[in-house]
Amino acid sequence: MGVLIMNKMIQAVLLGLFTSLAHAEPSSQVAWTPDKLRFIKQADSNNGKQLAAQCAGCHGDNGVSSAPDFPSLAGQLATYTYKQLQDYKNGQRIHALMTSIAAGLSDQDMADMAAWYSSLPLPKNKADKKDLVIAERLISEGDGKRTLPPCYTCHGSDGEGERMDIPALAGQQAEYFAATLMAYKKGERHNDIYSRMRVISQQLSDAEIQELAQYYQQLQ
Amino acid sequence: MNDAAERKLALSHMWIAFGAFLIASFMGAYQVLERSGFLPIIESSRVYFASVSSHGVLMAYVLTLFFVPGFGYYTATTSLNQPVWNIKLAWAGFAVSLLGTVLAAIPLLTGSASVLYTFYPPIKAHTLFYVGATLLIAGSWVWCAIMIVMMGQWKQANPGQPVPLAMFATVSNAVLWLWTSVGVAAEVLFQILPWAFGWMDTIDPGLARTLFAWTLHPIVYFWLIPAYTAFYVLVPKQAGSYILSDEIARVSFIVLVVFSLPIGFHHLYMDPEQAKGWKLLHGVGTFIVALPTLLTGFAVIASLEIAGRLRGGKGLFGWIGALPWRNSMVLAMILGLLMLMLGGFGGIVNASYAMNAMIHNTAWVPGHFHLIFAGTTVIMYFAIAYYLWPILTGKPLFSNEMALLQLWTWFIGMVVLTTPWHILGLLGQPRRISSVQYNDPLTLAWDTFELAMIVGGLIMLGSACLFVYNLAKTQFNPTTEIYTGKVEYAEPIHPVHHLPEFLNDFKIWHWVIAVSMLISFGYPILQFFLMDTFESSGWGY
Repeated sequence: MGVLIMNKMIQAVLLGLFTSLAHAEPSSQVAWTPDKLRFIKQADSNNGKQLAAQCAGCHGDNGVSSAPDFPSLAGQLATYTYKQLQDYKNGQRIHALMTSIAAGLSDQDMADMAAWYSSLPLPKNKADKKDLVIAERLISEGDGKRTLPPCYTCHGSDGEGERMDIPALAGQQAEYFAATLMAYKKGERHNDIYSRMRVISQQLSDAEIQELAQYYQQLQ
Repeated sequence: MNDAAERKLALSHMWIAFGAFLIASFMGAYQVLERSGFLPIIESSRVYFASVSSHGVLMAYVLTLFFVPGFGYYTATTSLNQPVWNIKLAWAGFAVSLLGTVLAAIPLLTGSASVLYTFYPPIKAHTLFYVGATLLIAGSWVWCAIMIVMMGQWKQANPGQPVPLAMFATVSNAVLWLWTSVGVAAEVLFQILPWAFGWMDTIDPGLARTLFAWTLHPIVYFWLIPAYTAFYVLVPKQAGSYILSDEIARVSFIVLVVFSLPIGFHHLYMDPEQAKGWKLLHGVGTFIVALPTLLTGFAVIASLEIAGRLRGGKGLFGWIGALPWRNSMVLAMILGLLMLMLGGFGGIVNASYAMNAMIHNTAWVPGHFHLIFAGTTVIMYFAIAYYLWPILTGKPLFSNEMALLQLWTWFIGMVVLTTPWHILGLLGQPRRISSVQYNDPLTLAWDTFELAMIVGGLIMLGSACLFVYNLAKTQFNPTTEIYTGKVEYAEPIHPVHHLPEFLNDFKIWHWVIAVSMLISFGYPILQFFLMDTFESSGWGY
């Protein structure tokens, strides 16, 4: 009898496991194969500039957004921008406007625009006089007690990002930045490989997120 | 023989070597301070890694690749009593190496080559760094060729005669360096440069690490052989003694050359790309290469004992006190051997497959290589410089007292620096990190050791400054006193008149090396072209 119950339990566990596996989707469809990297590297940024004209309304003429809730794209890694556009198109990242815009873009269009934005300098914003000690510590040291790695180890000492899919953060709009981390924290955004930013953002308080947003906005 | 041209050649090489050494010493002191976290104002991971990379390149490649040829040219000309063959070619080699150094320095100092002076993709430096490093090595091959030609010419002119031991040792190092540098040269030419220039999108780190392991171990013997050369042919004369056995010395150099080459995989014990059988084979070879060091230890300590007894030393240990401790060459060798004993013990841990797992990639490893290289090897470079400077410049050494103080402080600084470094490794401190402050009870326990390391590092910086100051004061001293001494090589107790060809030439040993390299590295390299693997994603783009 005991064995029977045990077998049932194992079956139930296995069923649950396979069901969850069946529902699990990759956080992104983009794989960084040599072909993919070569494709992005050889993109036509002049064509990207022309295509990007239609994006200027939200993202600014030179990729520097004037709306606090839309991201600046200037100076962003081409691979990162490309991946985001693909994720919008494939449904791994969802946005009221971007999902439909990305659906109409070809792979070549995405690569060209990503190349154009990456060729522009990162945005420069005026420094706030606010004391940002907490953000500085999180960025340079992290917090061992919460297993939070220092931000700079991935995003760079100058917030310049790291290949292939770790975004540049320097000069990013603070409001957009904070909204992004909050979306990760709540699980609304989930196209980060290995849940890296979801795990990290869940360890951050809302106040810390605000301070980090301010820090990176004014980082030059 | 008027050797003014050779003296200028040797001096030029050595000034570049010791200039690089002095700059790198300041970087070393900065690094030990920065890493401790005691001075938050100087903390910067970017500056730290640029500094470590520059320090390593200057010490491991520039100091050695200029010192070894400089010493080698002068040893060749004085031991064979003939001018350097094709001295214009020698200067061309010097110029190529110097150009390479300058080219590599630009990305290093601007933080674009912070790859920790190794060649481990996918970490990628600026292309200029690789071009510079290639030229630096290519220039040194000119020296190898000249040494081999000079020995050949001498043998033709003196058929059947034993090649002077000093020259035999020098050529053994030239032969070793030619074989040693093949690995990294292949890696740089066929993998890294095409990748750095963007001609190839991908690179195989496993193959790159295997090729670098080819170079990585024998290179330390290339650095060490000048020290052993001085142990055998210079120190006994300075101590008033003799070479215990000319033949033992030759056997040691040959075994060093042959067995230091096929053993590099102990650097890859924790790597996945090589199978354990190959690692075991290289591990056994690593223990065999301890033999020539034991032979050398036995022979040169015996030379010292003879010296001590000839000077009236009695009893089991009385000869030690009777040694001429105030002779810089003798003192350096005694201190060098002490550090070799300590470092050799650590080396056995590194070489042992199982124990290696405890200390792999920990602070133990830089502790070990500083003790052996910056300790035993470099202290003999100092001694050779103190000995040669008066001969090369024609002026007496500025201060022997200062030289003795410098050698003692180098030794003490090294012990104070590397003992806690080893302990930190055992406590689990990783190597290749810019900060050790995680505000954790474990890392707080490291503080005392970090403090000791700072003390050791600063003592060594002071010692390095004393060394270069003494050399500069010797050369630029406005004294009218002229030094007329010549290089004096020690004689063996029993002079050798005839030697079998295998102890007087390297031709047969090239074949032995070729076969052993084929066995040790043939399939481990070939597998990268034979085995089906999934292509990894490209890193650089």
